[in-house]
Amino acid sequence: MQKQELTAVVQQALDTLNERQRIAVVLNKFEDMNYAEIAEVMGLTTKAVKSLLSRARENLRLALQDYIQMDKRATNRR
Amino acid sequence: MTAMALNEDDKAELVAYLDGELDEVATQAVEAKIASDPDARAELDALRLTWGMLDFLPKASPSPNFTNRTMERLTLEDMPASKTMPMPKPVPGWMIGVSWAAVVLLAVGGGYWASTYFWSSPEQYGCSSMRAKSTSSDVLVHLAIFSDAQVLHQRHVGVRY
Repeated sequence: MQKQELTAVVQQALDTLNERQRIAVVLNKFEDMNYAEIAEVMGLTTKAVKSLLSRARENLRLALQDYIQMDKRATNRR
Repeated sequence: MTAMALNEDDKAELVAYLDGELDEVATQAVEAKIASDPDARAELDALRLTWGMLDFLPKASPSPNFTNRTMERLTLEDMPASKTMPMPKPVPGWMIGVSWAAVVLLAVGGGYWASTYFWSSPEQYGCSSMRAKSTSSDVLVHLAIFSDAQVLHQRHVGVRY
């Protein structure tokens, strides 16, 4: 799969998240914020951020499941 | 046991483990679980791969007019005059009264000085000055002085008018 296709697929998966989950993911993944920092920015508790990021990553996992399986198969073939 | 059998707390612990957010005790508990539970290990791998796939997203780069638009927004929204320019302290009422009194005193004093300087009586000047300034009305006003001068002249030349 081309990189451009993968980018589009990941962007679509990110778009399936609700706004709060997307913000938490962006802050954690791209801004390198830990849970306490995200909690401060979003006005949540650390426990709420933990739960928010868990649901967000689970949703991303489900959205990208097929591509992850493809990646695993490709890795096993090598 | 399947991956779906993991409850929300288990998944949250796995995610927090991947993010390095667990304390030592919780970390050991997760490591024990993934060592003994293939489904938990599979879930952990899937979550890790999912997170890694986000690296395919392009890094956000600002548009060419980003700076201009940001500065415009800052000017319009984030920099009201009340924040950028300090408000002057309110002037106490007594200071306003004192200022007005000073203005009135200056006006009265200045007026008095001007009137005495520009419209002084001829007596303050010498004769030449008086003559220079004299008019017909001045002569009438100072008739006594002219009369004295006439008497002196009569005595000097022996002439009677």
